Amino acid sequence: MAGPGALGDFAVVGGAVSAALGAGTLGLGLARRNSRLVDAGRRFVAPMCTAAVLTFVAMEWALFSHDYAIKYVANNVANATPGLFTFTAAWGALEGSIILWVVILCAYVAITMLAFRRRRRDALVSWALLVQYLVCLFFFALMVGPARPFATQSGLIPFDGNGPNPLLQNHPLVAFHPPMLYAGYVGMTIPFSFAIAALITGRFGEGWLADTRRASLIAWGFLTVGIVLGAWWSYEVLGWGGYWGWDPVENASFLPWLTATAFLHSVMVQERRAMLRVWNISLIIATFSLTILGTFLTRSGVINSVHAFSQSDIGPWLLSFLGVIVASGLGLIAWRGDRLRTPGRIDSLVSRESAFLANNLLFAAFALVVLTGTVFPLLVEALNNQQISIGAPYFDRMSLPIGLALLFMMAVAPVLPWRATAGEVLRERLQVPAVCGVVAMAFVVVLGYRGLGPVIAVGLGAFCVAGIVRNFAIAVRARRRAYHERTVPALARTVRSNPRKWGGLVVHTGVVVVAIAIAGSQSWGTRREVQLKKNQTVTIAGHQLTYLGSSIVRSPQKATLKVRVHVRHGGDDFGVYAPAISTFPGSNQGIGTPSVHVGLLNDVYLSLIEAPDDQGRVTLQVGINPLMMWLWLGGGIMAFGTLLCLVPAKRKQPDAVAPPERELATVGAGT
Amino acid sequence: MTRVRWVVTCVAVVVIGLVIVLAASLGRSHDTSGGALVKHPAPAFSLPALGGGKVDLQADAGKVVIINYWNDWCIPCQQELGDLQRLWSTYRTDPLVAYVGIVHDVHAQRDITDYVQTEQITFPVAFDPGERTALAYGVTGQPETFVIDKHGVVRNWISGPIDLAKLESLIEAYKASA
Repeated sequence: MAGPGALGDFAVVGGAVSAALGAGTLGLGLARRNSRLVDAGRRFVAPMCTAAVLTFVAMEWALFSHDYAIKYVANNVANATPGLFTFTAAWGALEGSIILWVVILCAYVAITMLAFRRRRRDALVSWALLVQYLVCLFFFALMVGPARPFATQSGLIPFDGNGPNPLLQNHPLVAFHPPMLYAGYVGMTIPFSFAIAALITGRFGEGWLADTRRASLIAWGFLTVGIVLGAWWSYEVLGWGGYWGWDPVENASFLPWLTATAFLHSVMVQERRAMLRVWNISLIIATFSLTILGTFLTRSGVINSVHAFSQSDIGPWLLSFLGVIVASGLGLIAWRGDRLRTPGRIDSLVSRESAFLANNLLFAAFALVVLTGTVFPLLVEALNNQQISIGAPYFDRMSLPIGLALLFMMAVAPVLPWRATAGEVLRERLQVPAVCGVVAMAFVVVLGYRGLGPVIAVGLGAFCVAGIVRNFAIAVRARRRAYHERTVPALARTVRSNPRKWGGLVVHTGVVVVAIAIAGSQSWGTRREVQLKKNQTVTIAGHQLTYLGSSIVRSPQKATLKVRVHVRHGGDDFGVYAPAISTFPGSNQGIGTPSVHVGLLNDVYLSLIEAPDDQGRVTLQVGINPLMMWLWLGGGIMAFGTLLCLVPAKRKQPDAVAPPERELATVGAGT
Repeated sequence: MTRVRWVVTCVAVVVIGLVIVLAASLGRSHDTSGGALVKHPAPAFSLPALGGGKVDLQADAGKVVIINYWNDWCIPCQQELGDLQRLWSTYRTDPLVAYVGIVHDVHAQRDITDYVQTEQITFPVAFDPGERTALAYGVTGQPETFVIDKHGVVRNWISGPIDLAKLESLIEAYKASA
């Protein structure tokens, strides 16, 4: 009888065949300039997407029906696994993660096709679809070959499965972090495919940028949210006390984010001044290549990481794919040669385009620093056969000056006009924000906070936010005067008139909040390991912690050892918190679950290190982590800003009066 | 050569170098766990035993030795307990086989004593108070089992519960080997 395995295998092969036929027909149509073949080639998108959805449905069916004849199911769920984690097990291991990748990729392809339905015979769109087909074909081929999700057991079928990796069944965030990250990674396929199409068709002007602006933003937004959720997961679930460890796989998600962020800024220079064409195409090729590099690092077994899937055979496939992408991209750029270059030149060093160029160089330098730190151990191992590890100190030291320089650029660039700036204008626009920055620095020093890096970060952050507020206030005032509107409608309509610009500035505000939270939490926190007897109290950074006792909670899914700790601060009673360690059937790992009192200024972070010993003493790691709530809030602000950027601009009223400081336009300046 | 092509060539050289490094890393072992000990001499230890005395690996030279790292609060350890007890019953009189269960975290010695009595465990149990032995064996969790041959070389590392039949066949094979 046909079961989920048969359906899944059928769907995977069906998807691969559809992608291959689509690519073949479309390629032939484009080569022969035959519009009937091009049309026919497009029609394979529907069966390919259906196949991807069916593959996912088959996997969920197999997981929920506990079809242990399928190896993936036997290895990743158990009878006692709760429904949520049974559902998320679909992407909890290598083969399933490829299914999720393909489903998201097909969704992007389908949405792109729908969005361009009126330009279906446009060569640029057709070549982009061909590239998308080829990327889909590669991932379907992975599922046909080395990462077959529906492979069956060779021996006896077990009565119960191993259950998900314990780390993946300890917190509901597993339902959000990987899909968000994948939506970011995979979304980069769309601008990449259009960049390649632009190179092939020779239409490397500004058209392909406008066509992919939304796709790039959506992918970037998902990647941002995915990274922030990953940090949150690390903090709330992994229990080591931090949120970012410069783990190679964390770096692998950060690298494409850096290049994509640079891309989002530099496209504005091309849109406005028709410059940086080679740079923009290179950036998006680099971004897509880095997403594949990240996939390779996670799935090839070349690195040890909490994120890494078990060693598999897909490493050589992914590496070859990476090679093909880079070779195609570089080959096409070389083929087009200097025809890609534009005659435009930067007129003045003090201009918006100069600032964007500087910001791009900083992002590129940041990416290079992170890439070097990530692959250097592999280089040393290849050359010297020595295993070395590059840890947080390298990354922290290198990223601090680049991060501060980026904050400075973020404060200055939005107020610079295009082409050139008079010194007087610059002074007028920067004076108040700069004073705010200095006052903010003085304020935190007076409050007793020390450290050059974080104090400068606060100053630059205030400088930046004050600039944004001033910019917005001027725009609202101009609108009120021009249309005689009241303040609140004027606020809303100012945003509505150019959501891309104001959304971008909201993202900047989010970045400032995140940057200050990172700087503060890294520099002003306290972390201690304490051993406590029952009813013993310890005071850490003004917080009194009393160990009340422990208990074991057993369920079919797991056994959890919890210790209860009463937390107080001065006269405030924060309540009882219960950090825990859980063990799961079929796994030998003890999984710590921290317990966190979330506060506006400080988190009290409790993590159980050792269970009660023979004298009843527990060992706890206690962290007083400042500004953590602001880190997550900053991520939320960035996500909100990205959404705002995606809102279509309201058409200007015919009698609109240009606001006096139109040149203040920033992120949305190209519209 | 145009400027763009010159830059592309430079980038291509760097990328080719990176791909070669990544390709060279494929298939290499990056294992820092107990698996890295396989085919290497087993680190020596002498540990306090439950009920007094010492458990010394050197004293078992020439035997096939099974070392199992466990704990009373770990579910997989509880799952494999019956099998380990059966294994011990099978080989307790075999002069060519030795077995030790090591409790390596600073967990309650008294709890283990109670647990051993309640569960009627008779196999030898040792404590690793400073976790030095666990560190030497690259133990990161419980249970982890090591099979050491007659020459003192680690032949197998089992992470998670054991498969009794498989473990017995390994022991027989190592007993029979020269």
